[in-house]
Amino acid sequence: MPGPVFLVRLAFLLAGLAALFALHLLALGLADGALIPVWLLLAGVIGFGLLGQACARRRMFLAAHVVPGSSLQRILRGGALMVLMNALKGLAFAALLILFVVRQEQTLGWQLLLLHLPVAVLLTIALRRLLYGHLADLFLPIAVWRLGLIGNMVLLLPAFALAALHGTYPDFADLPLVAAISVEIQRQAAESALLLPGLQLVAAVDAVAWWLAQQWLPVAGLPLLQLAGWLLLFGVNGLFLWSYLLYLAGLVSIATRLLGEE
Amino acid sequence: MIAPSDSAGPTRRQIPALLGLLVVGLVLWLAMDQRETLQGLWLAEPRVAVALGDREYELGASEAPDLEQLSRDHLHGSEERLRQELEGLVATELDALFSDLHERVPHFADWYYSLGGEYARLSFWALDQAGITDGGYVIDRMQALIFDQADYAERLARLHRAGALSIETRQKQARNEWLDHLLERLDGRERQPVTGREPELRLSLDGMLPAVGGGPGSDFETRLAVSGAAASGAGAATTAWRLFGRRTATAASSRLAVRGTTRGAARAGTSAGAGAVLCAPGGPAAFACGLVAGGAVWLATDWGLLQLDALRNREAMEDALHEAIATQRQDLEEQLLRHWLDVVEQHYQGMQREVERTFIPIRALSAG
Repeated sequence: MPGPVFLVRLAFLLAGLAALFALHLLALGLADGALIPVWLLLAGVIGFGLLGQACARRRMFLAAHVVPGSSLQRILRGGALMVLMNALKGLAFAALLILFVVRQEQTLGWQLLLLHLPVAVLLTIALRRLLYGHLADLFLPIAVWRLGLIGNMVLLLPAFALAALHGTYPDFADLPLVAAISVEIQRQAAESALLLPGLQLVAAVDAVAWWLAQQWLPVAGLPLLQLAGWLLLFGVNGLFLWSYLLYLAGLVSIATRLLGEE
Repeated sequence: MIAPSDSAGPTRRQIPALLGLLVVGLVLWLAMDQRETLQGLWLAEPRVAVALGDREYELGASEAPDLEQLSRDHLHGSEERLRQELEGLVATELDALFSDLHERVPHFADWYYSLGGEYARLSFWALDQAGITDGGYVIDRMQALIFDQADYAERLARLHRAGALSIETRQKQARNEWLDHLLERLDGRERQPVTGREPELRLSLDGMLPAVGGGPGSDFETRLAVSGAAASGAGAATTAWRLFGRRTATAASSRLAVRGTTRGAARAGTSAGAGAVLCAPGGPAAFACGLVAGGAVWLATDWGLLQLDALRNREAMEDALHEAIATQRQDLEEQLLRHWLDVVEQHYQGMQREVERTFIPIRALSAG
């Protein structure tokens, strides 16, 4: 049965997903002035998680390689540079996350994300419980973070690939590749001048994937081969899912910090 | 570090929280299920700018697919009307042409059962046997007396031109009707470039105009022309083929010609006897008299035998010719229509593909 940690983390993740869904509904109509704070907020959440991990790794490094009490402990513990680096990473992943959220036009995809939340929380709790007592205290949060991200990716990517098989796509069977890309780019629209080029870039990548899927995959014949093809083509979207998982991990980090678990 | 502490079950205080989260999750699920509706409340419907000629119109994305349906329906209707028109044209023209051919059959029979015809056939048969001519004399006469006199080849060529003209005319008419329907549908939707917001999609219908308007008439005329003896004007060869089955036209001609030689033996004996009886006294005069009398009797015998042959066979031959010509008409009509309608179908399929290609962005917008 779930305990308080599960409930708090799930509440955080639910709120986080609801916020992303609201962003999906509203983003195309948002101007730059409204979208930039949202970007910064998401970057803050992702960056917080990444910074926590960077600090944990640095602590482990210092414990292993630097004598306690040395001035190097203070110098190398991490400061503005580490914050800056992770903030930049946060900004990049947040930009990918916004594109993923805006272009996630399949209802089934959103419902998969919702169903995945309790699984994600249970997975991190189970990992922590399994690894506790086996791993050093300093390495435990790093291992839980990494294995949690990989485990969730392993769950989500095939699920999204399967869902994509049932999606509705433009018919590019009779179009040359360039025309298909052009059509997809042309139909992108957003109020924000920052968002539009990103959407067009992702739309072009999607057009290539859909065009290949419609030109090549019917030849493959077997459903398993088609699924393999979709997985290959859908690999590009793995990057977006990774940014989503980093966002969830950032939320969990915030929840953990608020709960004072570690 | 604190040991994992989430192993204990929920306390009484946590159960309402769990239920609360379940409710939130359910609400979020339902909201996701109504994603498009919710998004529609916030976002304005995507606009589509439609360029036609030098004007630009603006439609909602949901209205734009109607233009494709209109174009498809229009092309389908136009193709159906053109098919009916071509079927009517072919039937009318072939009726008139073959009626003339049927009228020419007695003229051919007159020649066939005339002395001139008889001797010409015999002469060419002899030349055929000697390998001097190619054995197509009777067919040549049939071509000349039935088909050429009815202007068969020229009238078929005119039919092709009329077919091409029909297609071209129908194309232009269809294009104008299509434009009228489009303009009627786009009436009052002219885009205001200054005040209107930028449309999400631009669609140019001008690219479809050449396809919907059709190509030049000469192109259709070439495409409508059918290869084959019946359709190209060599009507007699086809008719002879029908009369004599699978034999070659040369063999058919020889058979028609050789029928005259069966009368040769009877004719020779009769005329020699007649010459001897009429000019009995001897001398050069008697020889000349014998030649003239023999010749006259030869001719008279031939004429008589021809009349007898005509009495016995002419009606059957005319019937066979009529039947062969009627079958030829039916085959020609089928051949022409099959070919013409194939050309029309291919042409309209090309136009449908052009329409489909033009409206792909609209379908992409709808699919998204």
